[in-house]
Amino acid sequence: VNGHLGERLSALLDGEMSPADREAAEAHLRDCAACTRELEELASVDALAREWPVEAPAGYFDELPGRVRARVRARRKPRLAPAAVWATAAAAVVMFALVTPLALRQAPSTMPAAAPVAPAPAAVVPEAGAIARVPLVTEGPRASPVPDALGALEAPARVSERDRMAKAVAASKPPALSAPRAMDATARDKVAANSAVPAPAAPPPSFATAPATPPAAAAAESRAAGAVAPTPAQEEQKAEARPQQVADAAAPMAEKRKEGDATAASREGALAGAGYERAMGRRLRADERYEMLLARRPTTAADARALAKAWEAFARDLPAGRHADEARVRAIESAVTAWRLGGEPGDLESARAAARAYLGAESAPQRDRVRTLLETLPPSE
Amino acid sequence: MDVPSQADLDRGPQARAPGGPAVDAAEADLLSRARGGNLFAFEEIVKRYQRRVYATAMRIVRRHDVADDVVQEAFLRAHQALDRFDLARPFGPWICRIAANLAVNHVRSPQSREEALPEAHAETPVPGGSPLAGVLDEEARRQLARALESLSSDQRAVFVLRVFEELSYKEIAEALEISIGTVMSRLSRGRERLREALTPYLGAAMARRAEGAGR
Repeated sequence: VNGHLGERLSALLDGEMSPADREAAEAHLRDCAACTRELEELASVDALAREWPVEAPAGYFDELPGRVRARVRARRKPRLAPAAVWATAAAAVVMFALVTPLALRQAPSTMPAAAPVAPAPAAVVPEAGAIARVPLVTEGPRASPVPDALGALEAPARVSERDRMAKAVAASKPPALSAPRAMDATARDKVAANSAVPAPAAPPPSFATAPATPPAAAAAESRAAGAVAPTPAQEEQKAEARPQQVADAAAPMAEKRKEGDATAASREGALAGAGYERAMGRRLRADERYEMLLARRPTTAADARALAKAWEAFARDLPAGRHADEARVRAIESAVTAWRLGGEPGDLESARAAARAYLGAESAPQRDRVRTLLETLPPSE
Repeated sequence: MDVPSQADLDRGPQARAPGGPAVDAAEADLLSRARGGNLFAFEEIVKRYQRRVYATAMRIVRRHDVADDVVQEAFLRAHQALDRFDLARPFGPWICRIAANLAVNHVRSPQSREEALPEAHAETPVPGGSPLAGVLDEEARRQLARALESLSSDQRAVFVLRVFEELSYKEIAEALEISIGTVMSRLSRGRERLREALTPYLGAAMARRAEGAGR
């Protein structure tokens, strides 16, 4: 109105004006003390605001990485799902082989050979979580379109949807066992029917209840993410990622469990899932953990001490693993490093004690290495 | 320049070089291992960025418990989308954009409107020895916190992404799913509001800026 720059000052400050507009604005500034002053004040506002402190509760950042890792791990489980499919198929074949001849012998004229109806004994089922995942892996019955991998993930409202799906499918166990090929259709129908029922009022975490996040927002966000990191193979990845993520029934269960809101069924599923993952994922994770510990290069005594503890914990957690012996030796070496870096007599003593314990054990394949290490230490009084 | 700002502290040594991505090799290596399924590598990434992501979330949602949810969710989503992330780009702005989007969506939700902000939550005085001590006195900090809280969360989100993350208007528009025009007007109104609220302190801030520039 009066020719002052007004709202445009902010864009000028950010360098977000077209060259022509910018030139005009700068010309105006040369003659207008008021706008010049306002621009300076706006710049000062930014500078002041940068001093806006943010504090987290004590210890928060110490534990956050572990919490995130645990949640990622819980969601990663579906990678093992193909194994679960095979386990289920194998169980089905065994059941078929066992039950069919019996059924035929008992009632040759009335019992349809291909449809053994005996309920599956629970013992044959590898675990509930695995079964629950099977149909989800084959093709998830999703009512809403999945925008893409990112959006598909954790649109929070789906947490309870997936939970329900898992329960529904778990309930359809016997048909799944006796007729693996027909399982898809059966399970999907059941799930579809079940999904139509309103969700049990489960109070998810504060964030997860935000209704604004589901499909539209998630889709839009995935667009944003895609815009940041576009990849030609996006379509392929979508195809790959989707079953994985859709299959992720156990993770939300675990979350629910944490909230104390799990039904008996989902609790069972989560526990079984955890057991399954422990069994299948132990070796992979041990290797990862081993690799990370190997990569650590302590630069302070405290680092080295922590590393020694981490190696000890590793050996304790996986006493029969293939890296256990190396871990025991590395724990001793790290204790020595702690002593070398910090000169604390306590570290030296710990190193000696650990070395003595190692040498005193029945199995000490690297006895020579530890003895040599001991010889480099000053003699103990 | 001025004393190290909170943004510098948030950002840490992995600061993005202005005008271009600066990706350090160690980070690219971690990301590539994380993409290959190495959870410990991903945990390292979380360690590197958690403060920055938390600060972004916290500045928008103003509640620790919500910020905590947002931060975890942001890292989970980033992990799931890692396959599509271009390793030649810096991770920080990307994860902060995800967090900002989640934060704003939370604040927009009806549920969040029912949750009142705890009184004076953001006004915890920074303990002595902080880099801020001596720059802003306690009263100024309190006024700053009040002024920032008086912005709408939408204005705050745009402001945070611009001033702390130094994103372009286009990047902000994409992250928050709004038009560039909206980014521009929210930023302008937000800054104007802050300018009014902070008038008594702007003189000193301007003097410091002038002094810094004259050095």
